[in-house]
Amino acid sequence: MSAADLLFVLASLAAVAGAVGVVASKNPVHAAISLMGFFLALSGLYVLLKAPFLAAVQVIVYVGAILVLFLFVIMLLDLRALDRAPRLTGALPYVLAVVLVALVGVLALWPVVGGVARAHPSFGPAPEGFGSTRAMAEVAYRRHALALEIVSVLLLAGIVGAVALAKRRFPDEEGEATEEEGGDVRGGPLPPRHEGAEH
Amino acid sequence: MFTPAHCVLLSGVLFAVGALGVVARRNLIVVLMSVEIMLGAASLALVAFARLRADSTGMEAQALVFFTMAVSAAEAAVGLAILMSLYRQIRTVDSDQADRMRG
Repeated sequence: MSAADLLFVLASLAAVAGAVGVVASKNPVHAAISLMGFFLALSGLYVLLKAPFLAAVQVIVYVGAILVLFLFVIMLLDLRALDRAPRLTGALPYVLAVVLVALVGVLALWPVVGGVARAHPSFGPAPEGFGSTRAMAEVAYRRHALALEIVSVLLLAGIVGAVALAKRRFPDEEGEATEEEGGDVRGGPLPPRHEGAEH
Repeated sequence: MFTPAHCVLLSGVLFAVGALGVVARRNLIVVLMSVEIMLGAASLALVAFARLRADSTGMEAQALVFFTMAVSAAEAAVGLAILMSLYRQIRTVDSDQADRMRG
């Protein structure tokens, strides 16, 4: 087993551990840290798969932006509301469920994996500079420049949408903007909870 | 030597774990995190197959993963904004409490 194989095993275990940690953590901050481990392990796997540009973008975008966004949201929400006793106590049921689902995933995938193993027994050699920034730029800017621009507009639309959602004022909130202040007061209060919801 | 089959298997396992998180967790923040796990697992499969076809087609697959990352970022931002809007109405992130449209 070469160094690359050992690193692949370590990165795979870290990715699975990170994913399991997200699903099994009771504390959402722990789940966020697990998610960070998952993203970093994925980044390592990209490096092993000769995609260094994607590995860098993975860290910058997922860990540096998306994860931070998750942490901000966790910080801003009042999590005391989540401390009611869950139906199943402890993390053990989650871990068991994750193990079960992973096994089911493996079983369901076995024919696919077998097919891939038969058709492609190993990775071939990769040309020099495969996956580098230059190679990515050649593809993205020459053949998919329109897609790049559309993605930019998509991100702008996402930002505008998020800000628009954040600026909404709800009539139930105390001291919030009224229509005179230019706030956007929507509709009325929510309909009541579903009858017999507590089961 | 790690093979494409190993990568596909790993991708499938990660996707299954993420899908479990989406279905089984009540905390909507964790549900959104699990969606990101599923996206990461799919991207891993794409990168593995890009490595297999280590030519210009492989680079196109890597470009697809790049665009996927950008779309995923936008989706996470909007999804969290929707979650915060919901929180401001029902004062919790428990999905069991989000039942105003039921019945």
